[in-house]
Amino acid sequence: MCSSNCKIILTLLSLIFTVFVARASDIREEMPVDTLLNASCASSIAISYAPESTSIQVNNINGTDDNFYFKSGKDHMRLTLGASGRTSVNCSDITNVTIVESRTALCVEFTTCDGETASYDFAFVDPDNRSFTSYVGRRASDFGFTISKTGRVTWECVSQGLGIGWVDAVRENPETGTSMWRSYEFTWLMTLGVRMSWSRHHSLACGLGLHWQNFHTRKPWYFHKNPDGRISLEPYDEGVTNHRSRIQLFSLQVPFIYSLSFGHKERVYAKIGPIVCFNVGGNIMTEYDYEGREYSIKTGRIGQRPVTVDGIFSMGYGGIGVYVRYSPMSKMRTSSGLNFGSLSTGIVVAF
Amino acid sequence: MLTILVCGNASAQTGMHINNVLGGKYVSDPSVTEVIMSGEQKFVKAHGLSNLATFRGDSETYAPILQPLVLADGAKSIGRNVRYKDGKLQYAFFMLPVTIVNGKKTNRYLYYLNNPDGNKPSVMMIYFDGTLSRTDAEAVISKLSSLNEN
Repeated sequence: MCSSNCKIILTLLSLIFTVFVARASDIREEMPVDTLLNASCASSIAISYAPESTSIQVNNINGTDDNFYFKSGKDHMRLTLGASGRTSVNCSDITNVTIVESRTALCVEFTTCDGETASYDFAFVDPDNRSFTSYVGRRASDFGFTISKTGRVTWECVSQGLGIGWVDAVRENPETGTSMWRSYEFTWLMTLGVRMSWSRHHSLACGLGLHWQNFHTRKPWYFHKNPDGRISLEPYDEGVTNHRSRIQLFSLQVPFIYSLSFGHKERVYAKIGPIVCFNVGGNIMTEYDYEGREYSIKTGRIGQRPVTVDGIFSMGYGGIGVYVRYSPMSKMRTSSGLNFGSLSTGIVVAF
Repeated sequence: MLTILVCGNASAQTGMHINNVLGGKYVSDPSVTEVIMSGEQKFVKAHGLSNLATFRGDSETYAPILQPLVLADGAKSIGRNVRYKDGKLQYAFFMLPVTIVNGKKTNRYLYYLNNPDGNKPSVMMIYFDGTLSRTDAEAVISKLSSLNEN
Protein backbone atom coordinates (compact mmCIF):
# COMPACT_ATOMS: atom_id res chain seq x y z
CA MET A 1 0.00 0.00 0.00
CA CYS A 2 2.79 2.35 1.01
CA SER A 3 4.80 1.38 -2.03
CA SER A 4 1.79 2.05 -4.25
CA ASN A 5 1.31 5.51 -2.73
CA CYS A 6 4.96 6.30 -3.24
CA LYS A 7 4.70 5.33 -6.90
CA ILE A 8 1.67 7.57 -7.35
CA ILE A 9 3.45 10.47 -5.64
CA LEU A 10 6.57 9.92 -7.71
CA THR A 11 4.51 9.78 -10.90
CA LEU A 12 2.72 13.01 -9.96
CA LEU A 13 6.00 14.72 -9.14
CA SER A 14 7.42 13.51 -12.44
CA LEU A 15 4.42 14.90 -14.30
CA ILE A 16 4.66 18.24 -12.50
CA PHE A 17 8.37 18.40 -13.24
CA THR A 18 7.77 17.55 -16.91
CA VAL A 19 5.09 20.24 -17.21
CA PHE A 20 7.33 22.74 -15.44
CA VAL A 21 10.28 22.01 -17.73
CA ALA A 22 8.04 22.17 -20.80
CA ARG A 23 6.64 25.49 -19.61
CA ALA A 24 10.12 26.88 -19.01
CA SER A 25 11.12 25.74 -22.48
CA ASP A 26 8.05 27.43 -23.96
CA ILE A 27 9.05 30.71 -22.35
CA ARG A 28 12.35 30.52 -24.15
CA GLU A 29 11.05 29.42 -27.55
CA GLU A 30 7.72 31.17 -28.05
CA MET A 31 7.41 34.77 -29.04
CA PRO A 32 4.64 36.56 -27.16
CA VAL A 33 1.84 38.23 -29.04
CA ASP A 34 2.64 41.91 -28.96
CA THR A 35 -0.14 44.48 -28.86
CA LEU A 36 1.29 47.46 -30.69
CA LEU A 37 -1.84 49.58 -30.39
CA ASN A 38 -5.09 49.32 -28.47
CA ALA A 39 -7.09 52.54 -28.77
CA SER A 40 -10.74 53.28 -28.21
CA CYS A 41 -10.91 55.78 -31.08
CA ALA A 42 -8.84 57.58 -33.69
CA SER A 43 -9.50 60.23 -36.30
CA SER A 44 -8.17 58.17 -39.20
CA ILE A 45 -6.17 55.17 -40.31
CA ALA A 46 -4.05 54.80 -43.41
CA ILE A 47 -2.58 51.49 -44.49
CA SER A 48 -0.23 51.39 -47.42
CA TYR A 49 0.88 47.98 -48.55
CA ALA A 50 3.50 47.46 -51.21
CA PRO A 51 5.69 44.43 -51.90
CA GLU A 52 8.79 46.24 -50.67
CA SER A 53 7.33 47.43 -47.37
CA THR A 54 4.12 48.21 -45.53
CA SER A 55 3.26 51.24 -43.47
CA ILE A 56 0.37 52.06 -41.16
CA GLN A 57 -0.52 55.38 -39.61
CA VAL A 58 -3.29 55.96 -37.09
CA ASN A 59 -3.93 59.60 -36.24
CA ASN A 60 -5.16 61.25 -33.05
CA ILE A 61 -5.29 58.19 -30.86
CA ASN A 62 -7.94 58.44 -28.15
CA GLY A 63 -8.57 62.07 -29.08
CA THR A 64 -5.00 63.15 -28.33
CA ASP A 65 -2.31 64.58 -30.58
CA ASP A 66 -0.49 61.26 -30.53
CA ASN A 67 -0.33 59.14 -33.66
CA PHE A 68 0.66 55.55 -34.24
CA TYR A 69 3.26 54.69 -36.88
CA PHE A 70 4.29 51.30 -38.19
CA LYS A 71 6.69 50.36 -40.92
CA SER A 72 7.79 46.89 -41.90
CA GLY A 73 11.29 45.99 -42.90
CA LYS A 74 12.59 45.54 -46.40
CA ASP A 75 13.61 42.53 -48.46
CA HIS A 76 12.25 39.29 -47.15
CA MET A 77 10.87 41.04 -44.07
CA ARG A 78 7.97 42.57 -45.95
CA LEU A 79 4.35 41.81 -45.33
CA THR A 80 1.91 40.39 -47.79
CA LEU A 81 -1.84 40.60 -48.08
CA GLY A 82 -2.16 37.20 -49.65
CA ALA A 83 -1.49 38.48 -53.15
CA SER A 84 1.07 40.56 -54.92
CA GLY A 85 0.44 44.19 -55.82
CA ARG A 86 -0.33 47.32 -53.85
CA THR A 87 -3.12 48.00 -51.39
CA SER A 88 -4.19 51.23 -49.79
CA VAL A 89 -6.72 51.58 -46.98
CA ASN A 90 -7.90 54.95 -45.71
CA CYS A 91 -10.69 55.37 -43.19
CA SER A 92 -11.80 58.21 -40.91
CA ASP A 93 -13.46 58.33 -37.48
CA ILE A 94 -12.69 54.81 -36.39
CA THR A 95 -13.12 53.12 -33.02
CA ASN A 96 -11.82 50.03 -31.21
CA VAL A 97 -8.49 50.01 -33.00
CA THR A 98 -6.17 47.12 -32.27
CA ILE A 99 -2.92 46.29 -34.01
CA VAL A 100 -1.28 43.09 -32.86
CA GLU A 101 1.96 41.52 -33.95
CA SER A 102 2.39 37.78 -33.63
CA ARG A 103 5.20 35.57 -34.83
CA THR A 104 3.58 35.05 -38.20
CA ALA A 105 1.42 38.07 -38.93
CA LEU A 106 0.30 41.57 -38.17
CA CYS A 107 -3.40 41.87 -37.44
CA VAL A 108 -5.18 45.21 -37.82
CA GLU A 109 -8.75 45.54 -36.64
CA PHE A 110 -11.04 48.53 -36.19
CA THR A 111 -14.66 49.60 -36.40
CA THR A 112 -15.61 52.08 -39.10
CA CYS A 113 -17.92 55.05 -38.60
CA ASP A 114 -20.69 52.91 -40.14
CA GLY A 115 -20.31 50.40 -37.33
CA GLU A 116 -18.72 47.73 -39.50
CA THR A 117 -15.72 45.81 -38.28
CA ALA A 118 -12.73 45.88 -40.61
CA SER A 119 -10.00 43.33 -40.17
CA TYR A 120 -6.74 42.91 -42.09
CA ASP A 121 -4.21 40.15 -41.58
CA PHE A 122 -0.78 40.75 -43.02
CA ALA A 123 1.30 37.60 -42.97
CA PHE A 124 5.04 37.97 -42.76
CA VAL A 125 6.64 36.45 -45.84
CA ASP A 126 9.58 35.27 -43.77
CA PRO A 127 8.47 35.29 -40.12
CA ASP A 128 11.84 34.10 -38.82
CA ASN A 129 13.58 37.09 -40.37
CA ARG A 130 11.02 39.81 -39.90
CA SER A 131 11.71 43.34 -38.78
CA PHE A 132 9.58 46.36 -38.12
CA THR A 133 9.43 49.72 -36.40
CA SER A 134 6.46 51.12 -34.53
CA TYR A 135 6.00 54.25 -32.51
CA VAL A 136 3.30 56.15 -30.65
CA GLY A 137 3.96 59.87 -30.61
CA ARG A 138 3.43 63.14 -32.38
CA ARG A 139 5.92 62.75 -35.21
CA ALA A 140 7.32 59.67 -36.88
CA SER A 141 10.70 61.34 -37.05
CA ASP A 142 10.86 61.27 -33.27
CA PHE A 143 11.62 57.60 -33.58
CA GLY A 144 13.08 57.57 -37.04
CA PHE A 145 16.41 55.92 -36.44
CA THR A 146 17.99 52.53 -36.34
CA ILE A 147 21.11 51.65 -34.40
CA SER A 148 21.65 48.31 -36.05
CA LYS A 149 25.33 47.60 -36.38
CA THR A 150 25.02 45.08 -39.19
CA GLY A 151 24.00 45.47 -42.78
CA ARG A 152 22.74 49.01 -42.47
CA VAL A 153 23.82 51.01 -45.48
CA THR A 154 22.45 54.44 -46.22
CA TRP A 155 22.76 56.38 -49.47
CA GLU A 156 22.45 60.12 -49.82
CA CYS A 157 23.21 62.90 -52.28
CA VAL A 158 25.95 65.24 -51.09
CA SER A 159 27.83 68.34 -52.11
CA GLN A 160 31.10 68.96 -50.32
CA GLY A 161 34.68 70.16 -50.34
CA LEU A 162 34.72 73.79 -51.45
CA GLY A 163 38.32 74.81 -51.07
CA ILE A 164 40.99 77.35 -51.85
CA GLY A 165 44.69 76.71 -51.62
CA TRP A 166 48.20 77.30 -52.79
CA VAL A 167 49.79 75.12 -55.41
CA ASP A 168 53.34 74.44 -56.49
CA ALA A 169 54.77 72.56 -59.42
CA VAL A 170 56.88 69.56 -58.45
CA ARG A 171 59.24 67.33 -60.38
CA GLU A 172 59.65 70.08 -62.96
CA ASN A 173 61.56 69.43 -66.14
CA PRO A 174 62.60 71.98 -67.19
CA GLU A 175 62.31 74.19 -64.14
CA THR A 176 59.35 76.57 -64.37
CA GLY A 177 60.23 78.62 -61.33
CA THR A 178 56.67 78.44 -60.07
CA SER A 179 55.91 80.49 -56.97
CA MET A 180 53.68 78.65 -54.53
CA TRP A 181 52.80 81.90 -52.81
CA ARG A 182 51.49 83.40 -56.05
CA SER A 183 50.03 80.18 -57.48
CA TYR A 184 46.62 79.24 -56.24
CA GLU A 185 43.82 76.82 -56.89
CA PHE A 186 40.07 76.61 -56.40
CA THR A 187 38.37 73.32 -55.99
CA TRP A 188 34.84 72.09 -55.46
CA LEU A 189 35.71 68.53 -54.70
CA MET A 190 32.20 67.19 -55.14
CA THR A 191 29.71 69.55 -56.71
CA LEU A 192 27.25 66.72 -56.64
CA GLY A 193 27.88 63.21 -55.46
CA VAL A 194 26.56 60.13 -53.75
CA ARG A 195 27.67 59.02 -50.31
CA MET A 196 27.34 55.51 -48.95
CA SER A 197 27.54 55.23 -45.16
CA TRP A 198 27.68 51.89 -43.42
CA SER A 199 28.15 53.20 -39.91
CA ARG A 200 28.27 56.47 -38.03
CA HIS A 201 32.00 56.64 -38.63
CA HIS A 202 32.68 55.35 -42.12
CA SER A 203 31.49 56.38 -45.54
CA LEU A 204 32.47 56.34 -49.18
CA ALA A 205 31.56 59.08 -51.61
CA CYS A 206 31.84 59.54 -55.34
CA GLY A 207 30.73 62.41 -57.51
CA LEU A 208 31.60 65.10 -59.99
CA GLY A 209 33.58 68.21 -59.08
CA LEU A 210 35.46 71.19 -60.47
CA HIS A 211 39.11 72.19 -60.18
CA TRP A 212 41.09 75.22 -61.27
CA GLN A 213 44.87 75.56 -60.92
CA ASN A 214 46.98 78.60 -61.68
CA PHE A 215 50.76 78.18 -61.86
CA HIS A 216 52.52 81.57 -61.70
CA THR A 217 56.19 81.78 -62.40
CA ARG A 218 58.22 83.94 -60.04
CA LYS A 219 61.14 84.36 -62.41
CA PRO A 220 61.38 87.25 -64.87
CA TRP A 221 60.26 84.84 -67.58
CA TYR A 222 57.01 84.19 -69.28
CA PHE A 223 55.43 81.04 -70.64
CA HIS A 224 55.48 80.99 -74.39
CA LYS A 225 53.82 78.55 -76.77
CA ASN A 226 56.00 78.02 -79.83
CA PRO A 227 54.65 77.23 -83.30
CA ASP A 228 55.59 73.54 -82.84
CA GLY A 229 53.40 73.35 -79.74
CA ARG A 230 56.26 73.28 -77.29
CA ILE A 231 56.06 75.59 -74.31
CA SER A 232 59.18 77.40 -73.27
CA LEU A 233 60.10 80.03 -70.71
CA GLU A 234 61.31 83.20 -72.34
CA PRO A 235 62.78 86.35 -70.77
CA TYR A 236 60.81 89.58 -70.97
CA ASP A 237 62.04 92.33 -73.27
CA GLU A 238 63.86 95.32 -71.89
CA GLY A 239 61.51 97.94 -70.42
CA VAL A 240 58.73 95.53 -69.50
CA THR A 241 57.31 96.15 -66.04
CA ASN A 242 54.51 94.74 -63.83
CA HIS A 243 54.80 91.44 -65.59
CA ARG A 244 53.28 88.13 -64.65
CA SER A 245 52.72 84.90 -66.50
CA ARG A 246 50.78 81.81 -65.57
CA ILE A 247 49.45 78.49 -66.79
CA GLN A 248 45.85 77.80 -65.89
CA LEU A 249 44.35 74.34 -65.96
CA PHE A 250 40.68 73.52 -65.54
CA SER A 251 39.49 70.02 -64.73
CA LEU A 252 36.29 68.14 -64.25
CA GLN A 253 37.11 65.74 -61.46
CA VAL A 254 35.66 62.49 -60.22
CA PRO A 255 36.77 61.91 -56.62
CA PHE A 256 36.45 58.64 -54.71
CA ILE A 257 36.61 59.64 -51.07
CA TYR A 258 36.69 57.53 -47.93
CA SER A 259 35.66 59.42 -44.80
CA LEU A 260 36.28 58.61 -41.17
CA SER A 261 34.40 60.58 -38.54
CA PHE A 262 35.18 60.39 -34.86
CA GLY A 263 35.36 62.37 -31.64
CA HIS A 264 32.58 64.37 -30.04
CA LYS A 265 29.42 63.86 -32.10
CA GLU A 266 31.66 62.55 -34.89
CA ARG A 267 32.64 66.11 -35.71
CA VAL A 268 36.30 65.34 -36.33
CA TYR A 269 36.85 63.89 -39.76
CA ALA A 270 39.57 62.65 -42.03
CA LYS A 271 39.11 62.03 -45.74
CA ILE A 272 41.35 60.39 -48.25
CA GLY A 273 41.06 59.15 -51.78
CA PRO A 274 42.07 59.35 -55.42
CA ILE A 275 40.66 61.89 -57.86
CA VAL A 276 40.41 61.28 -61.57
CA CYS A 277 40.83 64.60 -63.35
CA PHE A 278 39.59 65.24 -66.86
CA ASN A 279 41.63 68.25 -67.84
CA VAL A 280 39.24 69.86 -70.27
CA GLY A 281 40.76 73.32 -70.37
CA GLY A 282 44.11 75.05 -70.20
CA ASN A 283 45.66 78.33 -71.23
CA ILE A 284 48.65 80.58 -70.76
CA MET A 285 48.12 84.19 -69.80
CA THR A 286 50.90 86.77 -69.74
CA GLU A 287 50.31 90.35 -68.60
CA TYR A 288 52.79 93.22 -68.54
CA ASP A 289 53.19 96.96 -68.92
CA TYR A 290 55.38 98.32 -71.69
CA GLU A 291 55.94 101.97 -72.49
CA GLY A 292 52.96 102.97 -70.37
CA ARG A 293 50.53 100.53 -71.96
CA GLU A 294 49.08 97.35 -70.46
CA TYR A 295 49.28 94.14 -72.43
CA SER A 296 47.48 90.86 -71.85
CA ILE A 297 48.16 87.85 -74.06
CA LYS A 298 46.17 84.65 -73.68
CA THR A 299 47.06 81.43 -75.47
CA GLY A 300 44.88 78.31 -75.57
CA ARG A 301 45.40 74.68 -76.63
CA ILE A 302 48.52 74.36 -74.54
CA GLY A 303 48.64 70.58 -74.63
CA GLN A 304 47.58 69.57 -71.16
CA ARG A 305 47.30 65.85 -70.47
CA PRO A 306 43.62 64.89 -70.87
CA VAL A 307 43.38 62.56 -67.86
CA THR A 308 45.44 62.60 -64.67
CA VAL A 309 44.99 61.07 -61.24
CA ASP A 310 45.54 63.03 -58.02
CA GLY A 311 45.43 62.01 -54.39
CA ILE A 312 43.87 64.09 -51.63
CA PHE A 313 43.91 63.98 -47.86
CA SER A 314 41.96 66.34 -45.67
CA MET A 315 41.03 66.58 -42.05
CA GLY A 316 39.06 69.00 -40.00
CA TYR A 317 36.45 69.68 -37.40
CA GLY A 318 32.82 70.42 -38.06
CA GLY A 319 32.48 72.23 -41.35
CA ILE A 320 36.04 73.37 -41.93
CA GLY A 321 39.35 71.68 -42.52
CA VAL A 322 42.65 71.65 -44.31
CA TYR A 323 43.76 69.53 -47.24
CA VAL A 324 46.82 68.35 -49.07
CA ARG A 325 46.56 67.32 -52.69
CA TYR A 326 49.27 65.67 -54.75
CA SER A 327 49.40 65.01 -58.44
CA PRO A 328 52.13 62.51 -59.28
CA MET A 329 51.37 62.55 -63.00
CA SER A 330 52.63 65.24 -65.32
CA LYS A 331 50.03 67.87 -66.03
CA MET A 332 51.27 68.36 -69.59
CA ARG A 333 51.74 66.14 -72.59
CA THR A 334 55.29 65.16 -73.52
CA SER A 335 54.91 67.09 -76.78
CA SER A 336 54.50 70.33 -74.83
CA GLY A 337 58.06 70.13 -73.58
CA LEU A 338 56.91 70.74 -70.00
CA ASN A 339 56.80 68.07 -67.38
CA PHE A 340 55.54 68.82 -63.89
CA GLY A 341 53.18 67.49 -61.29
CA SER A 342 51.65 69.51 -58.49
CA LEU A 343 51.43 69.72 -54.74
CA SER A 344 48.82 71.91 -53.14
CA THR A 345 47.46 72.69 -49.71
CA GLY A 346 44.68 74.89 -48.46
CA ILE A 347 41.43 75.32 -46.59
CA VAL A 348 38.33 73.35 -47.36
CA VAL A 349 34.76 73.87 -46.29
CA ALA A 350 33.00 70.54 -45.93
CA PHE A 351 29.36 71.45 -45.95
CA MET B 1 34.14 39.08 -15.18
CA LEU B 2 31.84 41.25 -13.18
CA THR B 3 31.79 44.93 -12.56
CA ILE B 4 29.10 46.46 -10.44
CA LEU B 5 28.92 50.08 -9.45
CA VAL B 6 25.89 50.98 -7.44
CA CYS B 7 25.45 54.51 -6.17
CA GLY B 8 21.74 55.02 -5.93
CA ASN B 9 18.29 53.61 -6.44
CA ALA B 10 17.07 52.45 -9.80
CA SER B 11 13.49 53.52 -9.32
CA ALA B 12 12.51 53.92 -12.99
CA GLN B 13 13.72 50.37 -13.48
CA THR B 14 11.57 48.92 -10.74
CA GLY B 15 9.18 46.20 -11.81
CA MET B 16 10.91 45.44 -15.07
CA HIS B 17 11.46 41.86 -16.17
CA ILE B 18 15.10 42.45 -17.02
CA ASN B 19 15.83 42.87 -13.32
CA ASN B 20 15.70 39.08 -13.13
CA VAL B 21 19.14 38.84 -14.71
CA LEU B 22 20.68 41.87 -13.07
CA GLY B 23 22.09 42.19 -9.61
CA GLY B 24 24.82 39.58 -9.72
CA LYS B 25 22.74 36.48 -10.41
CA TYR B 26 25.18 35.24 -13.04
CA VAL B 27 28.40 36.61 -11.59
CA SER B 28 29.99 33.20 -11.31
CA ASP B 29 30.12 32.93 -15.10
CA PRO B 30 33.37 34.50 -16.35
CA SER B 31 31.75 35.30 -19.70
CA VAL B 32 29.30 37.68 -18.03
CA THR B 33 29.95 41.38 -17.72
CA GLU B 34 27.42 43.34 -15.75
CA VAL B 35 27.56 47.04 -15.05
CA ILE B 36 25.06 49.01 -13.02
CA MET B 37 25.57 52.73 -12.56
CA SER B 38 23.59 55.56 -11.11
CA GLY B 39 24.06 58.67 -9.02
CA GLU B 40 27.25 60.67 -9.38
CA GLN B 41 29.18 58.46 -11.76
CA LYS B 42 31.03 60.55 -14.33
CA PHE B 43 29.68 58.68 -17.36
CA VAL B 44 26.15 58.77 -16.02
CA LYS B 45 26.22 62.50 -15.35
CA ALA B 46 27.96 63.33 -18.61
CA HIS B 47 25.17 61.75 -20.65
CA GLY B 48 22.19 62.94 -18.63
CA LEU B 49 21.46 59.48 -17.28
CA SER B 50 19.84 58.57 -14.00
CA ASN B 51 20.42 54.83 -14.21
CA LEU B 52 22.39 52.58 -16.46
CA ALA B 53 22.49 48.79 -16.52
CA THR B 54 24.30 46.66 -19.05
CA PHE B 55 24.55 42.90 -19.27
CA ARG B 56 26.76 41.04 -21.68
CA GLY B 57 27.25 37.33 -21.86
CA ASP B 58 27.72 34.32 -24.06
CA SER B 59 25.08 34.26 -26.79
CA GLU B 60 24.22 30.58 -26.60
CA THR B 61 23.66 30.64 -22.86
CA TYR B 62 22.10 34.02 -22.28
CA ALA B 63 20.13 34.88 -25.43
CA PRO B 64 17.35 32.39 -24.50
CA ILE B 65 17.23 33.94 -21.03
CA LEU B 66 17.36 37.59 -22.06
CA GLN B 67 15.09 37.46 -25.10
CA PRO B 68 11.77 36.77 -23.34
CA LEU B 69 12.59 39.31 -20.64
CA VAL B 70 13.44 42.02 -23.14
CA LEU B 71 10.35 41.27 -25.22
CA ALA B 72 8.15 41.32 -22.14
CA ASP B 73 9.44 44.73 -21.16
CA GLY B 74 9.35 45.90 -24.77
CA ALA B 75 5.69 44.97 -25.06
CA LYS B 76 4.88 48.08 -23.03
CA SER B 77 7.02 50.37 -25.15
CA ILE B 78 5.79 53.38 -27.08
CA GLY B 79 8.45 52.93 -29.73
CA ARG B 80 10.12 49.78 -30.93
CA ASN B 81 12.53 48.74 -33.62
CA VAL B 82 13.02 45.00 -33.77
CA ARG B 83 14.60 42.51 -36.09
CA TYR B 84 14.54 38.74 -36.00
CA LYS B 85 17.03 36.43 -37.58
CA ASP B 86 16.34 32.73 -37.97
CA GLY B 87 13.47 33.04 -35.55
CA LYS B 88 15.53 34.63 -32.80
CA LEU B 89 15.53 38.23 -31.75
CA GLN B 90 18.69 39.70 -33.22
CA TYR B 91 18.24 43.38 -32.50
CA ALA B 92 15.75 45.45 -30.54
CA PHE B 93 15.50 49.02 -29.41
CA PHE B 94 12.58 50.04 -27.22
CA MET B 95 11.53 53.45 -26.04
CA LEU B 96 9.61 52.69 -22.87
CA PRO B 97 6.81 54.89 -21.52
CA VAL B 98 7.96 58.05 -19.77
CA THR B 99 7.86 57.92 -15.98
CA ILE B 100 8.01 60.66 -13.40
CA VAL B 101 10.86 60.28 -10.93
CA ASN B 102 11.32 62.90 -8.24
CA GLY B 103 9.04 65.20 -10.20
CA LYS B 104 11.15 64.90 -13.37
CA LYS B 105 10.09 63.31 -16.62
CA THR B 106 12.34 60.32 -17.15
CA ASN B 107 12.81 58.73 -20.55
CA ARG B 108 13.65 55.04 -20.54
CA TYR B 109 15.37 52.98 -23.23
CA LEU B 110 16.07 49.30 -23.65
CA TYR B 111 18.51 47.93 -26.21
CA TYR B 112 19.28 44.33 -27.13
CA LEU B 113 21.77 42.91 -29.59
CA ASN B 114 22.43 39.24 -30.15
CA ASN B 115 25.48 38.39 -32.20
CA PRO B 116 25.75 34.60 -32.26
CA ASP B 117 27.94 34.41 -35.36
CA GLY B 118 30.96 36.55 -34.49
CA ASN B 119 34.36 35.50 -33.23
CA LYS B 120 33.04 36.00 -29.72
CA PRO B 121 29.35 35.10 -29.88
CA SER B 122 27.69 37.38 -27.39
CA VAL B 123 24.42 38.92 -26.42
CA MET B 124 24.15 42.39 -24.94
CA MET B 125 21.36 44.20 -23.17
CA ILE B 126 21.47 47.84 -22.16
CA TYR B 127 18.89 49.63 -20.07
CA PHE B 128 19.14 53.30 -19.20
CA ASP B 129 16.91 56.15 -18.16
CA GLY B 130 17.23 59.85 -17.64
CA THR B 131 16.37 63.17 -19.17
CA LEU B 132 18.23 62.41 -22.38
CA SER B 133 16.49 62.62 -25.73
CA ARG B 134 16.14 59.86 -28.28
CA THR B 135 19.10 61.18 -30.29
CA ASP B 136 21.24 61.30 -27.17
CA ALA B 137 20.14 57.73 -26.42
CA GLU B 138 21.48 56.67 -29.80
CA ALA B 139 24.87 58.15 -28.96
CA VAL B 140 24.94 56.45 -25.56
CA ILE B 141 24.17 53.07 -27.07
CA SER B 142 26.75 53.52 -29.75
CA LYS B 143 29.37 54.40 -27.16
CA LEU B 144 28.44 51.57 -24.82
CA SER B 145 28.38 49.07 -27.66
CA SER B 146 31.88 50.01 -28.71
CA LEU B 147 33.07 49.90 -25.08
CA ASN B 148 31.61 46.45 -24.66
CA GLU B 149 33.29 45.22 -27.80
CA ASN B 150 36.69 46.15 -26.42
